[in-house]
Amino acid sequence: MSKKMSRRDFLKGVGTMMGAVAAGSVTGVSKVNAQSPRLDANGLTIRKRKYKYPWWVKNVDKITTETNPDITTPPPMLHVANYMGAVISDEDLDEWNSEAKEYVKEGVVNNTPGRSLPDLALHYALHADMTLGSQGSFDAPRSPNIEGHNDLLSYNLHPPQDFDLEPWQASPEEASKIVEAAGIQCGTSMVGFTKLNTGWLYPYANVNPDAKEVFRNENGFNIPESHKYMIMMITQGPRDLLIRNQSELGAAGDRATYSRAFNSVVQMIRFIKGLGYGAYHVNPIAPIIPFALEAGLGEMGRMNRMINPIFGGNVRITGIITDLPVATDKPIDFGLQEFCKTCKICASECPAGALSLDDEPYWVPANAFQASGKKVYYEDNESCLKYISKRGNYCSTCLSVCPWSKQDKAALHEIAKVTSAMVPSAGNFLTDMDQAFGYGLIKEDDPEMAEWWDLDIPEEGIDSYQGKA
Amino acid sequence: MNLILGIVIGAGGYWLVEKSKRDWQVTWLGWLLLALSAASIVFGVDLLVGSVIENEMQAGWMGLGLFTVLLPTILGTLAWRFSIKR
Repeated sequence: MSKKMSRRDFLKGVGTMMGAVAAGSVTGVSKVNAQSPRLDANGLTIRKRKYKYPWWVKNVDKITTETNPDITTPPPMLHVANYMGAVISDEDLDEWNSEAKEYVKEGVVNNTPGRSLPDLALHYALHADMTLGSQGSFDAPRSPNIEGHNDLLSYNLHPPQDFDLEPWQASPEEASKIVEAAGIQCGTSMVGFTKLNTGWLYPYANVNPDAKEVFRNENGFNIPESHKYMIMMITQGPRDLLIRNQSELGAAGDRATYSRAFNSVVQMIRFIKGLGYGAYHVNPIAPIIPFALEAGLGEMGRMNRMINPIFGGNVRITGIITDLPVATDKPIDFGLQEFCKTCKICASECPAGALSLDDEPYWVPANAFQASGKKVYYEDNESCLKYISKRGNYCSTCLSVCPWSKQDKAALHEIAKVTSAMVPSAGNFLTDMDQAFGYGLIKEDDPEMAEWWDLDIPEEGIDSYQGKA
Repeated sequence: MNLILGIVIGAGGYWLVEKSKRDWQVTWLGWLLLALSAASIVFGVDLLVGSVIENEMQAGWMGLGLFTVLLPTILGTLAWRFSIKR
């Protein structure tokens, strides 16, 4: 800087720069977030988000994962456990289960931090989800379906038709607004909307022109033509438990997330039905991640799961298929595709070695369970399932160690996320910093493992204001 | 916490301005370095407080050491050495 510059000139320069930055950010925000009511390519209204993403999350027309409809095949069935049950022998499963019993017992007998009896009891207490089954537990039923809970879905529920009234009428924008508000009240962390892409249904789910509501018969699921809207929801998990992964406490965190997701989807189905419309749980009908991506709830990450810019991988996804006309969202891009290429922490920390360390995503699925037609880091489901099954608990290591899975109480996280979004190739450096600051997993031999019982935690262990302040 | 921090930073800034009027001559670079120091202190305290809420104490103490002690010390020393004429 020249010596001739006076203090006044310097301050003037700083003022001008700050003005430019402020103007730039205002313009940037308005470009990203301000959506005037308009239609997408399918004639559906694009909605204006109530809870806006930060300025560094861009709305885009296509999901950031490369797809090829010509080679798309949906996965053959709902649940990895069902598939693995079909390809893994009963003898192997029995052996894994007996190993799991020994492993769990050993933790209790030795009072191992994170695997003691109170830890195990908390795991079982929070294992109240009945939606998606529980492939890893040695005594869990293998019947993942919300249909077993029809009483819960209809108990003391009277839609307007019961009073000879018409279903609730409103614009798609208004419908999305109230569904989002109800979703947050029902415990969902974020709600997104998209249309049904019938090409992504499981092979045993089909559109039936004669169907009035979703029903199941010997041919599988029958979906009415009117049910062309998808309400996708993500539910965050209790991070203090989840970072104690590879233990019963971690498993408790994993189950807590599913339980909350299950509760919210049941309540939301009841809400939509209460408005006089049809509503059915998406998870048994179609893989949920593609719809969540379309609904702007995240991008596909290396862990072969969706990463949300606010909650990272620390979410579970549910959804509802409905005939309530809603305004839809656009997919988002926050630089994750490039970031994941260099970060790799989920894969290097995966205790089962089930995640890919390749530099680039690829088109070829790892097994017949997986959908083709997408360029992702396909995972080795069998190794993952085997690891979980042999321990009798659940593993969310990949979700927990993801650098995006942070709370938002320190400004450092926002700076790291902005840097990641703007300079995704810095993923490796940022991950090293993440580790240096001690944001990794708490392991079994770490003194902090047992300290969970002494922590001050909010209700249900989650910060319900995250991303909404 | 933010209130206390604001009062401390404000009082420090006021003292510095008054001092610069009477005894010291602070160059624009000095003001810049001191402003960065103050920002760094605020950032470090924010990280500590946030980390307490997040139960991430290692990050909190590291942040305090880096941003509230080390970096301001370096910046302050540079300012004192090169940009403040006494």
